[in-house]
Amino acid sequence: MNLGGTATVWTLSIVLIAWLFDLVRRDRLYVGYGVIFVSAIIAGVVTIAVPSVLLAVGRWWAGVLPASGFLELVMLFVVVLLIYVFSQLTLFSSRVTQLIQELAIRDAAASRSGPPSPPR
Amino acid sequence: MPTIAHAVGTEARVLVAVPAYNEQATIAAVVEQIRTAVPEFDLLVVNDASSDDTAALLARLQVTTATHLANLGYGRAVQTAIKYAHRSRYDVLITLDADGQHDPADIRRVFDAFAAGRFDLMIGSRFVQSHDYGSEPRVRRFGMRLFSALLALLAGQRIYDTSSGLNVIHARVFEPLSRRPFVDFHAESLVYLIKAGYLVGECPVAVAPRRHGASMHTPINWVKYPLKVTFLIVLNVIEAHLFKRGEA
Repeated sequence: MNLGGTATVWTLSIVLIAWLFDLVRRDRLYVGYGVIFVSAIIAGVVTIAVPSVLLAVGRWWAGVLPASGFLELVMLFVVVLLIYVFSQLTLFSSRVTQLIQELAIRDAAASRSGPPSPPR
Repeated sequence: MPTIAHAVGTEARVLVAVPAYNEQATIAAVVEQIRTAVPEFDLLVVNDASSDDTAALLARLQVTTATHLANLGYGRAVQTAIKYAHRSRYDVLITLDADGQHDPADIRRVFDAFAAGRFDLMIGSRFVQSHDYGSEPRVRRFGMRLFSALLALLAGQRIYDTSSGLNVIHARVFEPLSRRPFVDFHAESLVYLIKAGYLVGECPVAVAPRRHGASMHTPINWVKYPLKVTFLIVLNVIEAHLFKRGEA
């Protein structure tokens, strides 16, 4: 891979990891999904960074499926789409969680037994 | 590093919260022991959609209960307690596991240490005195050593018990703890609090072996849990470097 290709891969990886961290930080992506995506991206970058590993993986991949540059772009698109889909799933899950917690808190406040605590 | 510790007055409103999932064997004894040990503190049980008789027992005990309609897991049950304490304007929240491993009589000792030291979070620690994890299974022992070392390395403070269920939490940290993603409020939340300048301490407590029910740490969790916690630790450290305290 030439210098331009290496720079592109590193830039894309850093952008993707930063995006993933930000999604997890804002509770927009479940941390378990974040672990999977970040691990996969790091594994991909390491594969590309080590020529011998890249060669071995390349040979194996060519045997399984002749990959073109276009196919790699399609795979990148699928990864981005997957992150987006999982982010939406997490968002939905977070809203259900908040709803369950809110109902529980209201239920507890309504059913609080015994004399009320003194005010602050 | 400056701390954001606040004093706890003698008139402080204190809530003891017990997250419970299928704890029918121990919940009644735990509730009664808490009522005896700290009668002046309010008590809340967060029933995380138990499928056994936990809910019926809680109703019979007439204890304030926040019932999840679906099982959300330990971390979310603790978060519900934090949100409830925050919403109800408690000054201090004490969390205690429902499995009966902690002695509720330790609550007052840990609370006194918390108040005397002006801490933001005081951990009822199983290991701070002995520094010995020998009583734990091998996998857990490794995890505890790993997270303790990670905290020392990344947050600059050695915490010997990063997964204790007995914690005393000041109202000052309710807000950040209730809105940020945490797994089980263990090492990942400790890193965040320490890096954000809050004062975290440990007070020695004794823990009995679990006699009933199952631990939340199943074999699959032995892999998932450390990965998720490590991810959040790294995230919190990065964020602490990027953002100034109070902005995060």
